[in-house]
Amino acid sequence: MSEMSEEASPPEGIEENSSQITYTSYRDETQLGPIMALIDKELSEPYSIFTYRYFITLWPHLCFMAFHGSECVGTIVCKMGQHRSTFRGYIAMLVVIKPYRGKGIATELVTRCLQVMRDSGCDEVTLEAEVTNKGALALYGNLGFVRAKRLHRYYLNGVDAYRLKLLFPRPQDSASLQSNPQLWQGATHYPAELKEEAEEERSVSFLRELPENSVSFGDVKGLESPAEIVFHLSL
Amino acid sequence: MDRGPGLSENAATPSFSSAQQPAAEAPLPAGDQTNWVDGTVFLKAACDDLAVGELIHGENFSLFEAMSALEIMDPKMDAGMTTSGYKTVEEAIERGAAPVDLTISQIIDVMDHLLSCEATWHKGHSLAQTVFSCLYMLKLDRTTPNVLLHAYCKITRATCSLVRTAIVLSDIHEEEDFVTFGFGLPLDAEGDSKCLASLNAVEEVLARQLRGCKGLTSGKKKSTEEVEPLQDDPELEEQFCEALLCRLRFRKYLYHAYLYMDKPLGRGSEMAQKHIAKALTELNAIRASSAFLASRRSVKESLGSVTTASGQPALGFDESVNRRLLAPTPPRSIDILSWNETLKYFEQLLNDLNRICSLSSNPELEDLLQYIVDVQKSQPDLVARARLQLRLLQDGKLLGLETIADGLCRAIKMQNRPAKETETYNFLNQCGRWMLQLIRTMCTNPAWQRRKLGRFIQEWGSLLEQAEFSREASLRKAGRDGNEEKTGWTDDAVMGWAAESLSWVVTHFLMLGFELELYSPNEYCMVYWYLDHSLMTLMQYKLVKERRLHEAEFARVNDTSPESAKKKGKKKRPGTVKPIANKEIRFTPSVLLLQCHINLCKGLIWMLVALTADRKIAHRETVFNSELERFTQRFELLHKIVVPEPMTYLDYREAIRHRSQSIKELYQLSYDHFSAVQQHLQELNQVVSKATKMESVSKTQRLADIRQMEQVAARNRVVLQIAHQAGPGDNLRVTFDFSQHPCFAVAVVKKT
Repeated sequence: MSEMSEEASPPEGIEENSSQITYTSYRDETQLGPIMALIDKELSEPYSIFTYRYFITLWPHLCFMAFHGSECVGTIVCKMGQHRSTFRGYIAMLVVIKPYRGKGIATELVTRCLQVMRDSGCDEVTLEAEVTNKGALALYGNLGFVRAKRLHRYYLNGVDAYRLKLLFPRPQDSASLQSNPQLWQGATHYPAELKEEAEEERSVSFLRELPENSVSFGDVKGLESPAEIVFHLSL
Repeated sequence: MDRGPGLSENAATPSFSSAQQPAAEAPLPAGDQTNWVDGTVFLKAACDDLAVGELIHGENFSLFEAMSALEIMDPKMDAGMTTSGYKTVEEAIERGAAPVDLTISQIIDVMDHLLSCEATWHKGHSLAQTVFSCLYMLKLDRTTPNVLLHAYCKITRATCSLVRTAIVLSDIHEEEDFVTFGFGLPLDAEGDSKCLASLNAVEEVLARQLRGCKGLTSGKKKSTEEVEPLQDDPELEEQFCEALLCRLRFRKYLYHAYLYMDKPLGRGSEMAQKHIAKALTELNAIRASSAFLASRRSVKESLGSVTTASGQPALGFDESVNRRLLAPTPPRSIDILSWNETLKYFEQLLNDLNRICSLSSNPELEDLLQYIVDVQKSQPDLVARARLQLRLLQDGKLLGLETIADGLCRAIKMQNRPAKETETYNFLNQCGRWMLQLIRTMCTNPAWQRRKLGRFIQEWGSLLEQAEFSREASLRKAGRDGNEEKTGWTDDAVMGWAAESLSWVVTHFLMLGFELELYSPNEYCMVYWYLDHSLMTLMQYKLVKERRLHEAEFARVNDTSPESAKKKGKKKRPGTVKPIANKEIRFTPSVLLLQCHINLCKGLIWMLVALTADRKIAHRETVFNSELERFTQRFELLHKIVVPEPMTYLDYREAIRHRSQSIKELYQLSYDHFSAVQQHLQELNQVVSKATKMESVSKTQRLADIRQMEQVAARNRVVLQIAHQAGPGDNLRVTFDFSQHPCFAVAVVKKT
């Protein structure tokens, strides 16, 4: 789906600081009109009423709105659910109207959704953004999203998209950081001495200066000799 | 009906049967045992019964249905809402939108705009909105009286048909790539194979006419046969003749080139290349004619959106007549390529086709893969890539000549084919299937290619793992029997080759990520580190292979014992013959290229480590996760395979940890690697320049690579010096870009 462009352009005629922006969670159907109007105006992709209802009615707690006074100046629409073996959050639409961009409103909207998703047990969050939308890409990059894939001519206007993905910390990954070094060294096939030695020796033209049948390739990580590789694979 | 706040999962389907419709008016005429009833009243009553926020939800109405639903009458979604323009082609023609009687400059405008439409179609838009927005193309028979237009349209249609067939056959397009769906448009017409006959006839007349004009202007006497001039002004006759001729000839040569590309390699390629060269010449003539045609334009407009050489809009095009043929999706905005873009597009297409035709008849598998990578470097569009794939895999054979099994044996350098139903045999069979898929995938667009490769890596990885398991099992069994004869070096060669291939794909996969701009600056270090790991693994397998070949050669030359014949093809363990020194192994271009890539990676890794330690790279912590999660996410796929050995985040942190090294030493370390790159590049340059067996495309690309890598190494060395001289701290801001090489970044320094 689409993402608004969040170029860091100076606000036009908006003097108020961002503390005067208030954020509310979606309440009921009466707010659907303003949300739709906002999104339809800013995004290139046309969405039917069914699409809005699909998201907002099923996940009202994943829809936030930003207000300046009584004016709705930004909104975010998301969903979450089981995707293959993961529980995945998905950001469907994000819009901040032009005069209010570059004030961190979008970051705040996304942050609120990410918090709900994390607390609801999501493993990861994905979304699509146009490759040309530098502002949105920077925003998500700063929040820890990785560009997982590029989608060729994803949008109706023929522009490529990135699929962005944020992985929430998993217990098993963090555990691996504290694990006994002996253990993981045992898990790889290399003797620890070899690793040490290889790290020390970083000869540049490693191909030429090796003794006959040499073991080390001067690698940062320490790899086996050719003979051992064959052995390792065939045994 | 459920009245919960959310959607009801079990919402009762409202019944429209007349039994429950006491208030219904008389039923409408029924057919096939169906009664049609006006449901307005019922619906109205049901709506009044619902509070705000309540919905009726059918279980089968999911996101997909919601997303594909169109709101009728909404102009943003309903393609039928644009009611302006003609409704049918007949109506358009009737109202005089496509007169057949055209002036010469009008004909040229139609030809040019049609060419722009064709290029736009190749770029992924529907036929209906491009080539068949031409009313003349829709009703080609009408144009018979206008021989010039008729011949041009006919060969255009025949060419489009060839292009579409090739793309459908290659099956490398995705829906976003190319619209093969013809919407019932008259693309394949009988008798189009004879389109050349009518074109040749027209060309003949025009050529005579041109000779006539030339005779006139040079003061010679008129040719004996009078031909009717194309237009009134005799001064302009020659230029008009030329403008028409080059357009017609361009079409002819392009059509010939496509036809010859369908023929087997060898003579087919040669002839195709000849015609491509001629088409390029005509394309230049078309470009040259633009000045003359544009000078006759009365109103000067901005050149951006112009789709003809003259800059005049062409007659006889109307997009609206095909509106009803479009798929039921929101209207896709389409911009026809400009005239200049069109010329550029065809120029690139012809050059790409030329590169594809230049392929020799028997490259080794490894060189073939490199060749595809090299062809892809010029970013060929779908039409060229489809041709590439058809050329590489004709009738399921490599280049239409060699079965994949033969190709594999040649790549692995197997003297003896494995016996049927053995493990090796089955494994090789699977390798063969996988290799065919790999070649096909490598012809797709880079974005799609990388996603597909990800899946391949996993499949290939588990294949290798399985092979390793069964080998282990059979070895254990063999060990008990005291029979070790089961694993000869042939088996090792097979596994070695498979592991080398997988490492190659992983390397390619990681490098493609740079081209697709998937990595952000805070990931560069880990990606170069993993890439380096993968390159090192690849290098090792390559060297093992080279060594084995060398040893086999050595043994063949030195072994004069009578048993030698018996031994051949059997057991040959490393160490049974005199070991070969690394320096004796010949340094192939691919080995040297790897060496350069490895040094570039290492140079960049240590440069990034040093600059980060020196606080010259901005570093930002993220709230929701850390580098660990990004590492996991980036390399999760590669953690599921056996080769290259999976590397964890901890391995990464350990590897880039600088124990006692000072920042200066880190800078020096990086500097040394870049110096090494420059040294290896010289060697590579020599080897490539001298190489005789290399594909010409690869040779050209390699020489270009060398220049790019030289730039990367040289510029980064300068930045390292500047950073070092600036002293410690964040007094400089260093960023990276890919202006010199698609995969290897150059550092850019700014004062803070």
